[in-house]
Amino acid sequence: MRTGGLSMDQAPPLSIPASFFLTIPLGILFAGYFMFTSIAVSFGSPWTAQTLALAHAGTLGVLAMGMVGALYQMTPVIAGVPVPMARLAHIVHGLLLVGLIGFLWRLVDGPDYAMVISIRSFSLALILFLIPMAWALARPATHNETVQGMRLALASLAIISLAGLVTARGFAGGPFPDEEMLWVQIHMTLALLGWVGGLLLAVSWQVIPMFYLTSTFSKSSRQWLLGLLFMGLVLTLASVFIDIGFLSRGQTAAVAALPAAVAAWLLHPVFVLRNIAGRKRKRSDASLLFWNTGLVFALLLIPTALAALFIYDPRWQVLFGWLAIWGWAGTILHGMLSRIVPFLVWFHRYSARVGLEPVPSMRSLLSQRRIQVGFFLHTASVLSGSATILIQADMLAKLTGLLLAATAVSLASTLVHVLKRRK
Amino acid sequence: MEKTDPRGLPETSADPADIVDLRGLEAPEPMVRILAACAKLADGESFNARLPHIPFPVFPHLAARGLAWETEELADGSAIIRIRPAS
Repeated sequence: MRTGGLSMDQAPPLSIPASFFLTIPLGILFAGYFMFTSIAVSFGSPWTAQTLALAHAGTLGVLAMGMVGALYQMTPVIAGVPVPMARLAHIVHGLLLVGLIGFLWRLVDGPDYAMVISIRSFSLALILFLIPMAWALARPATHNETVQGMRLALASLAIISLAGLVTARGFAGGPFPDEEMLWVQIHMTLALLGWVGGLLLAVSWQVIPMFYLTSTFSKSSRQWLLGLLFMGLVLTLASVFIDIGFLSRGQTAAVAALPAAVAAWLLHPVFVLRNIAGRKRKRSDASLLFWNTGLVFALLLIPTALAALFIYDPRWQVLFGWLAIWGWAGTILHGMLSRIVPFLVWFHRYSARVGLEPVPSMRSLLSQRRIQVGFFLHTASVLSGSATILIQADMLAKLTGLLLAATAVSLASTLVHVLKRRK
Repeated sequence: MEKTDPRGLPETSADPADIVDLRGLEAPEPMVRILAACAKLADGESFNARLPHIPFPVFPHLAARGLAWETEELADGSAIIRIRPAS
């Protein structure tokens, strides 16, 4: 038997996750800008400045903003331990924003010093984020698989940051590292499967049963998925020391990640989709559209990754990145925001009055219609972007840019609508 | 293996007959039910509930209302919470 002893100040103020979440539409707008202003053929290779800018608008501007903000909120709630010096989150947020803008500016013909500023901002932001978060997750009040997944995500973030910063020096007037492709492959694999995959799987085990009333995920399935994820990431890192003659070093690292890819992009989507389909009380919820669609995009990732690895056409590599960042992780993140932000607003503004006076229901804070509009715009932009990459028609790139901008406006409007609710 | 009583509840230190099962409710309904029930607790009474996991977010509200609580995490990850007025 344990006795609880938390105080009010252990939960972070709403302003912390909200500030990160409110910046996400800006990342989507940047992505839309790059799509709209570039000729479609720019997205025919993963190494053009436009593709790199698009990818990092998604990873740094959208996914990282959402995930870092979510970790500040989730750690006390799920792990039962406060994040020390949580107010530093506002500085972390500002530094991430400066780093993002410097990074994207350099890639679109900005000066080298833009990347220098970006590297310094990201480095400081990561130190201020990782150390308190690691301290908290090293002392959880509960040791469930969600906490383990959060730890795996955090460790992966530390490694991908190092690999990313080393590679980014090449854009800041310094040298690109030897074996650059290997660094990039490790950066990408750990980013998508460790940082994003680790957190997404861990969060899904909590929020899917909690918000959608599915059966809970069995302990053994959670342990298997975590084990496969961990194995794939370790093998990817070990591949640095392996030389298989008929595969390049980058291909070897990608193949080594297969167990993690199977966990995140095959088994997890199948388990979650099965649980969602088997709900006993099938209450309509527009945010589920995002989960279902994002998980279907996940199922496309292994075939697309194999095509990217073994077909000599770089469009497959770009398509893989697009589907992973904006199709799988981006779609699920967008859906989570539609569900989590009303919950946070309800929790911070109304829950203290429950049982003492009437309070609005959480569902009344955000209409299903708004969520549906966001879903259709988001999904349309994923499909249009995929067509842009494969067909390389300028009109499609412009359409995708407009759809991304519309998605950003829709999400921003939704977030502001919910966050300004006070009565 | 986890021990269960004939009603399907794992053996815990709380009397299973007094435990309200809140696992099948959509968030934040379990918190609403707990706080609503606790608003009516008299001295000497307790409210016991089973939840899908330890309800950390509800703890500050219980503390602010002068309530004491104990939690017990079960093998399947669910949790029992026992709440009573602080003496």
